[in-house]
Amino acid sequence: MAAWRAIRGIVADRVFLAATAAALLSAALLYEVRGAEAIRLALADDVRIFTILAVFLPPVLLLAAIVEVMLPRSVVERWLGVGSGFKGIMVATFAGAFTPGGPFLAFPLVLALYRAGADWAPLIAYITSWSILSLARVLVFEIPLVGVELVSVRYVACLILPPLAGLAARYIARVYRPPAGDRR
Amino acid sequence: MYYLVAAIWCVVAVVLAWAWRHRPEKLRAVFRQFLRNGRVFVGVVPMALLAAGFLSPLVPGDVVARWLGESAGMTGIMIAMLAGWCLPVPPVIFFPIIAVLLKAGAGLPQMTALIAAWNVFALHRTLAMELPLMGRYFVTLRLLSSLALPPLAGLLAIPVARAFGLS
Repeated sequence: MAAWRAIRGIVADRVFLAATAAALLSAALLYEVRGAEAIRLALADDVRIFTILAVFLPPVLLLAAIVEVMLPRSVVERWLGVGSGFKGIMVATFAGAFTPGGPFLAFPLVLALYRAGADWAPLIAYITSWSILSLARVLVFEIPLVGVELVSVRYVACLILPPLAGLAARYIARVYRPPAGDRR
Repeated sequence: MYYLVAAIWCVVAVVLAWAWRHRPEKLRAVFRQFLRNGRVFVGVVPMALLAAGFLSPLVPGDVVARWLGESAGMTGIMIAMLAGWCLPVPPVIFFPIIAVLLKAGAGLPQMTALIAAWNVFALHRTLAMELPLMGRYFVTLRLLSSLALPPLAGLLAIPVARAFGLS
């Protein structure tokens, strides 16, 4: 029974149990403080958000899965290996924004490049870009959960941060030197 | 919002058609990855959203507006940055919290700083993946390089929000 196993996998998750407990507790609290009408209003608002999620998430998740499976690691490696100058930082920023998936893809990639002798600046810019500008995370979590207004302002305001982090890393690495023999 | 959805469906259709022609053997893996990524949205996300929906009428709007509102200015940005550092939670929990604060009257620049600080610091990610893989020097260098980024993002968000007509 694959379906049963899938349901059990979802329900027996620790984060799920914590979120369920939080939902029940907050519902009880709201009922105590504001009464049944407030519960009804909150649920009506939730229905609106769930509608957005139901329309928005399936295509986005499908797209993320396609990119995750189809984009070969070597392509990102080639992008990141272009150099350590300003151009390298810009390319790393671009690559970070388009790298899909969680930390299980990004960090091993950076580790491989680091061992291969890549410079600090593009690696820092890449990780910063992947954490702040990752389109996959923005589309999957941010837009459905907090709305387009905040996301558009935040994204534009954050666009120049990864290159800045890369440049800062280049100068800091000159003063604060890596320990000898750190690259295994 | 719905134009965006339509645009994404078009992109998905094109990419799927391409994949079906050129890499039909990978479609199974794509589908499996889709199910794995989607699981959290069936269980955790609806519950977190329910909790956020019940909590948001209880959050005192005047307190949030005073400390994290548009008028809190630079102080609000710094408070938001500290809050972002102190929230080592996964995105499924984090973004519903942001939605609650936003509804309670938090300002866009302040929320920008909060999200940036959470993204950069991300203790749950740093401790679990980055530190064991990359070592202490890399993590220290990265944190030093991006220490000033969250307040900068908050400051940049003020003119951006004004340009978008949202402040």
